[in-house]
Amino acid sequence: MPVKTTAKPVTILMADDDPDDRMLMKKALDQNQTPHHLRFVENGVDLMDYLPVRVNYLEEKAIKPALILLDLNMPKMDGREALRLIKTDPELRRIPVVVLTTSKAEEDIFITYDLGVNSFISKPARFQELVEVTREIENYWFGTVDLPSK
Amino acid sequence: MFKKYYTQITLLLIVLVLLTVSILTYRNLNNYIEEVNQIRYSNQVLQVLEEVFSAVKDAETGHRGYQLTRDTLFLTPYNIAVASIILKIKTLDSLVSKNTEQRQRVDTLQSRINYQFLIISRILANTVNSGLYMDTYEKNLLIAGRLNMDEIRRVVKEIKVIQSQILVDRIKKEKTFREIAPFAILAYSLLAIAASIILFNRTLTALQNKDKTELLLLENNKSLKEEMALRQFTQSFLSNVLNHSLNGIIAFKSIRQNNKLVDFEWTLVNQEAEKLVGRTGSELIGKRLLQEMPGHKDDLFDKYVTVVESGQSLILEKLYKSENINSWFLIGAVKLEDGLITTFADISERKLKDSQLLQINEDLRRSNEDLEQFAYVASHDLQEPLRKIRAFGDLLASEFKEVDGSHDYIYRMQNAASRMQVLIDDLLSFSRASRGTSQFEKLNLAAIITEVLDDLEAQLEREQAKVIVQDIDQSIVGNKVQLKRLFQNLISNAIKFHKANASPMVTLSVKNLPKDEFNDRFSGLDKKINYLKITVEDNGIGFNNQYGEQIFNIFQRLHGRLDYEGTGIGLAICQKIASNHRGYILAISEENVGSKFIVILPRE
Repeated sequence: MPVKTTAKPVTILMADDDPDDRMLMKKALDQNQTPHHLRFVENGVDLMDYLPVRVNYLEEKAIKPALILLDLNMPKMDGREALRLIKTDPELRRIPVVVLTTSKAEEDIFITYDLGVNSFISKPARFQELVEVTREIENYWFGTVDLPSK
Repeated sequence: MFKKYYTQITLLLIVLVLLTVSILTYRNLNNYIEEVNQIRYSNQVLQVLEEVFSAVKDAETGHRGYQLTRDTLFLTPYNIAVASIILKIKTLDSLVSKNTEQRQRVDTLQSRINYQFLIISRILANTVNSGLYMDTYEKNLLIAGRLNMDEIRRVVKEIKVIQSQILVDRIKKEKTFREIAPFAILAYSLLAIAASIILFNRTLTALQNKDKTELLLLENNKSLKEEMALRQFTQSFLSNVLNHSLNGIIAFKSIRQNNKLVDFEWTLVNQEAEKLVGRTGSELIGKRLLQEMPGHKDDLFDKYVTVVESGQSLILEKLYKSENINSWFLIGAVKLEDGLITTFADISERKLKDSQLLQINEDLRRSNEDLEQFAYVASHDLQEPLRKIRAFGDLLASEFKEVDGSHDYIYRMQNAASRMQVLIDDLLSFSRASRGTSQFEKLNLAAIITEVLDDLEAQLEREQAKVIVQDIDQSIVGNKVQLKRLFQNLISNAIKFHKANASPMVTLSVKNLPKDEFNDRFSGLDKKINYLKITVEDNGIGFNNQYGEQIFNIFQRLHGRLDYEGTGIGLAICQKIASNHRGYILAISEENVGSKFIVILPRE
């Protein structure tokens, strides 16, 4: 079942150091015949580099992501720290962040919601479940809810 | 002062009084005797005076007779008179010698008498030579004799009258003395008797007192002896107790300079102390602590001083390394007067064991921590590859066509991976429970159970289980996630292990743990804290009570995986959570009847 199409394709940014997970996500989105673009960064530092933290907000390479899929355990800067930076930045905080992680630890759920995460999803073990989850994410964030324009 | 010399003063007074009375009486008697004597003298005077006078008259009569008759026979009275008169006058003279006036009169009398006898002798001489007639000479002599005789008569009368007067006076005096004397003697006797009575009384009292004092002294002596014996017994008993003590006991006396405590002096050292210190008591008693054992200087001495000055006793463990001693001591010090008593025992062996035990405990704790850390990391990190295996397995099955039952293999592989997933999830929960948590809050037990039952709804429906909840409305302080997990595991187990022929029924009840149930089984419970006793009881298959403790071990299973699914971690998690909350969990069961899990949790 393909995702509901929206008027305009957007960029989904996935921050994950695991190439397998990046591949599985790509496959899941493909299976959903998504119209959206999926971009990857491999750690928190790269993520914050990608996001126009300071002035160059509309730089060419930086296509502003409509949604960030964030892994928690990453090298250099982990997802928690990146989440904190994003949610304390006056501009970036409006971008919805969905934590997608292997961990199901209670404290991680607490911490990330405290930091302002929009959803917390633990990575499903079955591929079919992953497809379902990604479809729900797309449907929800790009079909159901209204997001601030620009 | 007066009391002390009371007896002496009384005695002195009595002696004085008696002496005075004696003197008075003596004098009285003396006077009386004197008066009696004087009366006798006076009578004698009168009598002798009469004799003298009659001798003179005899002489006169004699010589007249002779003159008339010339018969010499008439001269005999004259001659007798001449012969006796001198002696008589002498007697008279001596009798009145004490009375000057009378003596003068007697002297006058004597000279008159002498004169009279002279006249008589002249007359007689004249008579011999003359004739019968009287001549003038003779006549003159006679006239002179007569006149002299008149004078003698007058003097004699005078003496007589005076002496009679004296006699009357004496008799009067004598009478007075005679009347006084008996009274004086009587008074003296009475006084003497009174004095004797007083003295006797005093003596008697003194004797009685003496007896009493002696008796008292005797009794005192006796009790003193008894006391001495008791003291001796006590002393030897105490010294036995001291010397048989397994602790070293030393008593010290403070040595002060300008009121500042500068050292201690040994006053008592028991046998064990001698052994521990390696010196004999006689070597130490009377000596100074810091001189004999300078090892006390570093801080023990200061601590002892504090004990003496503050009165607060001291207990400490101390490694003493000085004077050839190198041991751990357990030292107690208690203030006693201006000094202290120390008791001490060599605890080197225990100390060694303690440190060994501490080391073992530390090792154990570290190894446990390592294990838990390993379990956490392992289970966490195992999840990732396992998830990949499952995900790519799915892709393998969906994207490739089946070749010779390849999908069956993939199915089996996925099945195993799924079980591994459950195992890892449980292991992760267990290690999370082991890591503890700081999130404790006030919770309502009823709300927790409601949530748990909601979570278990699917299982309840599937097994057609009935859960009865009794008196659950209790508050408790704990970690919500862990408590949920605890009851979820227990209720889930109670349903899972049901009998094939009966639908599961679970009863959950809560009550305050009565204090009398604080027994050996709950030795770690604190009696000052209120505990809740939560019971989860089922009608399931039960188990043999011999496994009552084992079932809480991790991976411990009583049934095959095909009969009842599970990893053997659930109850281990429950026990971990109970102990995280400083509580207990235990199980009582009977095969084919049911099981009862009791959780004891502190309310706060």
